[in-house]
Amino acid sequence: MSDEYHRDVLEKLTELVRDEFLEGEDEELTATTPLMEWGILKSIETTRLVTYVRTEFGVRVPPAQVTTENFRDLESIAGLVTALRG
Amino acid sequence: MQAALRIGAIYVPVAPANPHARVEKIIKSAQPKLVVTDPHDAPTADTAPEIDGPEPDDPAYVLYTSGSTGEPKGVCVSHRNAEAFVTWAAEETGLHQGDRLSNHAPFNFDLSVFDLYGAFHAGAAVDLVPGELAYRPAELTEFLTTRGITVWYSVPSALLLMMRQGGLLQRDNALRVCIFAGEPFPSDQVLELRKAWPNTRLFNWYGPTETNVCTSHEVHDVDPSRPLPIGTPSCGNEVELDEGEIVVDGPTVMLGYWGEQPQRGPYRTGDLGKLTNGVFEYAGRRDAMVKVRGHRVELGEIETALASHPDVGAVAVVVTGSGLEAKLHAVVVPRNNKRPGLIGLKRHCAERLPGYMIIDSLAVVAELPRTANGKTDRTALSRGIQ
Amino acid sequence: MEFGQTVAQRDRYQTIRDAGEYDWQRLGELGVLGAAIPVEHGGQGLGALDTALVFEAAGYGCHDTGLIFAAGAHLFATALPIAEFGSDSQKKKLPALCDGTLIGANAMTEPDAGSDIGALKTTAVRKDDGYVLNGMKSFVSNGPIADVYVTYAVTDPNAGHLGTTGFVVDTGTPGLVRSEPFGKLGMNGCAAGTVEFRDCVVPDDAVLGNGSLVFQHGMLWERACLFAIYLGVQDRLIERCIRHVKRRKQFGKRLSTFQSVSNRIVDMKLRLESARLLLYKACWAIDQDDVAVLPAALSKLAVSQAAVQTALDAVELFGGRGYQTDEGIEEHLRDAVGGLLFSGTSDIQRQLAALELGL
Repeated sequence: MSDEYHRDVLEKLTELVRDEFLEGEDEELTATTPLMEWGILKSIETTRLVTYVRTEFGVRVPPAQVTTENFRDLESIAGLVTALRG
Repeated sequence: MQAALRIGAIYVPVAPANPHARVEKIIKSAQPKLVVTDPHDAPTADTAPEIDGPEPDDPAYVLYTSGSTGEPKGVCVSHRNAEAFVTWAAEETGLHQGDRLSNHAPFNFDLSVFDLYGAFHAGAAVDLVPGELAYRPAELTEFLTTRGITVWYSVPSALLLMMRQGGLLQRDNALRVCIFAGEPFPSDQVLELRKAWPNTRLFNWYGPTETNVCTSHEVHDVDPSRPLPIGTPSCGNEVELDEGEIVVDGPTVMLGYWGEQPQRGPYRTGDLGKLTNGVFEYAGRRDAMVKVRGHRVELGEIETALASHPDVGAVAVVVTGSGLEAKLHAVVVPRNNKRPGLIGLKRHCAERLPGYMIIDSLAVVAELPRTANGKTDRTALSRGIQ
Repeated sequence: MEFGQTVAQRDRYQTIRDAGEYDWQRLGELGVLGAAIPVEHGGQGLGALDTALVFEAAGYGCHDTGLIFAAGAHLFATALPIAEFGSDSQKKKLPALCDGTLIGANAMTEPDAGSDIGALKTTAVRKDDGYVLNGMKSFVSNGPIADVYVTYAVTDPNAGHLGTTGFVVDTGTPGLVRSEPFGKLGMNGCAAGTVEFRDCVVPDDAVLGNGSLVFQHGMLWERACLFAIYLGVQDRLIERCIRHVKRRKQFGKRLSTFQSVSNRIVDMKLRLESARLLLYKACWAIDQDDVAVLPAALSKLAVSQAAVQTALDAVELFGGRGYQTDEGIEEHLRDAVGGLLFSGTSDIQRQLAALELGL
């Protein structure tokens, strides 16, 4: 169940990042693409992603959880969302 | 005589061998508006018109440049200016009678000064590139190779076009010297040229129209991770950096702009430079320094970084939007047939530049818009995007 | 959501509003300086809504709006972040920050970075058991007089906006250089200047936490609670306008009988009451531990714009007298303009709101 949820979250987040932050390009985007390091998630994109997680999955990411470790790549964000869902 | 006919003037040929009295009578009768002669044969009698032999500081020609305001500005170049450059350039490149120069640049672009007057100076031949060929890679390559050109001088984009689409590097040629100027030449592509032509002398010249060539770099080894240097001062000029801006003083600094006050003292180029071990590097236009979300960003630096990506042929980076909405937008021409991707280019930036200089968006195009002189037309790019 | 005020709230409001004389010490005694600080650290332990009411009362009672603004900057951007994120040793400063012994300042704004923490240039480089700070903070409220600074610097240049760290730095730390107060349009009761860090060495224990996290927390409270000052100021100003138009005559009639005048005052009141509800809602969201970014941004926009418009209306209602400096009307306008800028400009608020709306 949790695995399935995680997969669903990962899929939707990948779609968001690809469509909204990368002009629809998906050739190289993977679950481990370093989003912060390569400037894909800057401040505004991070805020949009947090808002998306709240509205799409009903999961509130507390500000203290918005860290470079948790937002390193799609895999870690999906992991955070899954964990926060409780 | 040809010129007189074409403009509808009348000419009266007078043989210098004629007795003075006869020449005087002819002058009285014909009332010429203009006498074309050389000082040595000039009439000496009272009626002789005044002869204006050019002084070294008289204007030789005026080249109009676009100017930052969009109003064309006439750069007034003296005989002394031109001579200082031509003498230096001919010596630097070892021009001799057996050379065959090309002339790729239009006459209003100062690159043509070398082609024409360099050839005249050395008694060499000059082959004019027909204007319509200027950016046709195959024909241009054909021209260079079959005409036996030994000295080529053009903007890098023309050479790159010949390299990428004209098969230039696969053809035999007679080139002894190849010079480029007018815009940055991505260093890894110069490296390719260097390797393909080990026996051709390569020069990277720098200088705005206002100073002609004020620094020169002869390319030996190329470090593809650094921008190609613009070298050391040339033509007897002094070149300094004032708060990063390249400032030039010396014999090739223009007289001034036509119709404006004469240029006094050193000329501020508006270009930014860096000095490493006594060698200058070009670091972009001062006014291309933009602020993006609070950070000072030199667009040329991003372009240099992107140009070293294997899939990037030519690139221009512009800022779209302003204030909070400001974004770095890269316009890229693919080098090979592989289309570069945004993620790959972001990664490439991230590995070379601070985070705030990572591009935000990307457009892949077949070619960059060019100005009449063949440089990347940034104004057109920005206009197309906004 | 409760609309009625409790007896405690009313009493607190009246005590602060009617205190008469105000200075830094008095604000400490009145519980303004430590309103939102937990009781165990010497504060009043109030939530956001109660804290806003405290500042509303102070804004009404104290005619030196700059002084109350200084108290707000001190509480929301210095004392509160220390209470929320600080170490035990940092929290030892809190009682003195609450009672008025110490003054706090928030050194964030830089020449190229207003409310954008991702644009900071000040750096903190790790060295031995601490950090070396270097950089210029260009607009620091309380800067020339503060004892304790909360400041922000880049510690991990590769992590963008998340690569900053908040620090607590005491006055007197070598390398902390502050300017004299500079002149500004309004809020003259609050001294502001520059603060520069020149190889300023601070120990590990100066670290307050992730810069982005600390800063956003303080900003949220500022946008919601600090702006309550402007509600109190507008209450006072509108009352004064009403008294004025009822007394003053034009063409043999009282100003208040002209509909153009009374309509204007009704609009001032409408703007104020709408903004007040938004502000209370933002505070309520904070107290409910709800996501308060959107209501706080909307509230800040509404209150700051109402303050400017109401002050402008007051100048017009008072005419020539409103324009003269000794009348004390025009200063409301000057004090209001700053509200459009600090705690994030109006454009920033709109951007925050847009992002919250998923735009």
